Amino acid sequence: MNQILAIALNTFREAIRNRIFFSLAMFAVGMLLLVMAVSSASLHEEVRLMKDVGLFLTSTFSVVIAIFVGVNLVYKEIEHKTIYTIMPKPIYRWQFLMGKYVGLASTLAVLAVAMGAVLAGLFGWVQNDPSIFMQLVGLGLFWWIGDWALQAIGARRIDPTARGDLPVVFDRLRRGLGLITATAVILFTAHYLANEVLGALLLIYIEVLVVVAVSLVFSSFSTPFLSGALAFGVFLVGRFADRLRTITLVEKADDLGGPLETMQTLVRGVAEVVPDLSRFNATPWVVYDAQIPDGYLFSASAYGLTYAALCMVLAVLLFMRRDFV
Amino acid sequence: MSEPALSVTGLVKTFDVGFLGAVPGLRRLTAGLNLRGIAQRVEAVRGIDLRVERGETFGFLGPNGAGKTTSIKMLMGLIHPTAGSGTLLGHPLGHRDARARLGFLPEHPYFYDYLKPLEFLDFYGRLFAMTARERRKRAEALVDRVGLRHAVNRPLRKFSKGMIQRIGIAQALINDPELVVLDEPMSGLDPMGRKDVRDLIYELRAGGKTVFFSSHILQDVELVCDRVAIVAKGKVRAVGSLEQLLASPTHSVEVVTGPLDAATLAKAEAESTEHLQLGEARHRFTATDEAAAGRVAAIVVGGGARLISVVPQRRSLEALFVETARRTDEEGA
Repeated sequence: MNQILAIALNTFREAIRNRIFFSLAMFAVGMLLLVMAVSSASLHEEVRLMKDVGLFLTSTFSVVIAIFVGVNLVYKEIEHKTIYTIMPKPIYRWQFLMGKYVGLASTLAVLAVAMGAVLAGLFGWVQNDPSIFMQLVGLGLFWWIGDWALQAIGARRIDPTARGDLPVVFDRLRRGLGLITATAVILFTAHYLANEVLGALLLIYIEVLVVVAVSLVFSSFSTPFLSGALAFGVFLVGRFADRLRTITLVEKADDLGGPLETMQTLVRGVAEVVPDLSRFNATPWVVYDAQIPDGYLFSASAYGLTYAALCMVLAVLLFMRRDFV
Repeated sequence: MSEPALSVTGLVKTFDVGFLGAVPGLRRLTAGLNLRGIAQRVEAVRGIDLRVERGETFGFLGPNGAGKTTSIKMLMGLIHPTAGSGTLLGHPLGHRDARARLGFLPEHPYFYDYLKPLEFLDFYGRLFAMTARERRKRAEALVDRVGLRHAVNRPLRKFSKGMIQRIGIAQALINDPELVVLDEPMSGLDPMGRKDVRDLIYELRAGGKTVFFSSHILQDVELVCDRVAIVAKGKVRAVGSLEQLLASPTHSVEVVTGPLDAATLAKAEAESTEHLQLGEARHRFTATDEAAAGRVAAIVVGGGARLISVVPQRRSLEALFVETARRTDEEGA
């Protein structure tokens, strides 16, 4: 367990230091522009449109980041040869892969919460309640200034000849501040977002977990480009899996046994194998302010987590056979 | 005999390369065909047998492409052997318990460059399930030991090649290992850096650790190793202590003299196998053995010239290395 946590923590730290959260800034700016456009273009339907497009953007952003980071996750370790110093340590290959998965899943969870907070702020704005937006900005400033101050004070206390980074107490204070802010953001988001929006965000996160697991399967045996293309293909087919499973290409009896029927069988077969990502789309409930049934939330989550677990088993089996040349 | 630190028998690694090389099952179908570039087998290691005793410093030598790194990767569990078996600290290759007592520095190491040295060592300490206190204490001590105290607040991306090698050695020692495997640890280091690594190996040996390292810098190997193995074309071609390997009868004797007249020069040349004029005032003769060298010296002294030195030439590790590589090439195996 220690080993999985070590790899997960390092993956999380790498994602943060590689500025993955810049994408969040892009998301926030995109959403702001959207608010302006929606406010001026729609008549009395701002909130509904905002929810629809907001959830679409949240989902798309999360999945794109999941694929982009997911396909590079293992490949980068091999390409940069960092894996050469990790695998000879007392760690099983499955622990390494699980650690990478947990690390990325945690990063994406933070991203999902932050996106939810941005959505909460903007929904408030559209509903003429800018105070929600201001509270969000206030929380951000609280963390930013606090963290900066702790670093500045801590650095001043370091004797140049003494050892280490910031004194341990300042490191802990910074972590504590981050934890308090994160908790406040989660509570804030949960308080201001309607239950159905929270449910929709949960399903988006489960979808992301599935996509990361699929990306890991591909990236455990091929290059990032091919893995990315394959994972994106699975994502597209998965989004329409419910319709593709019953697609009808053969309309006339004459076409039976011909290439059209072969194509139909093939498409239906692929749609059965890829994850049915349409299950994670809760927008219809959200747009019409209807409660997502608890049973649906549970079954969709269970389906997603089981699919992700199976993908991880496959990824581990492929990864265990691999030579790190 | 006590249990060795490392022992392998018949270690073989064959890679299936080319466009279709990696397709499972295809190799059996294409075994008899000449499909160069499409589906091809490359034998990187053809049967390595080795035994390294506890507490010894063992050099693993060989020219580029000899199979050194592939062999080390098999020992470290990074590559699955095609055939053969072995033990590491009493456990089968790749066993987790053996890896817990092992330290490894790969060739040209790359690390997470966004980490600072103490964070970096803390990460590796976590992989050994060390407690936070142990990790901190060990990391602080190692940073001092490898001389990186001045750089503790710098991320690894700002490190020079020598500094990366040092922090790499520190991570290999984080668990106070019994066996340390270093793949080309002196590669790319300046003379000071090489001396530091040598000193560290001396220190490890003095502390009773087993050190296994590959290198092609023969001078370093001669200075630190108890025993060496020379590998070429995927097989161990010679193994033993330096005394054993270099203990052939005197290879040749060099006689250096002052200026000679034509008659003395002609007589001395007749008794030697090689003559070289070193500038205007010196001559160097190479004689096959000590008796021939004595005859050359007598001719020189008898001719009234100055005898500067008579030096028996021992077989050097370099000569042995070149000879072994050349012989392997000639045998084509």
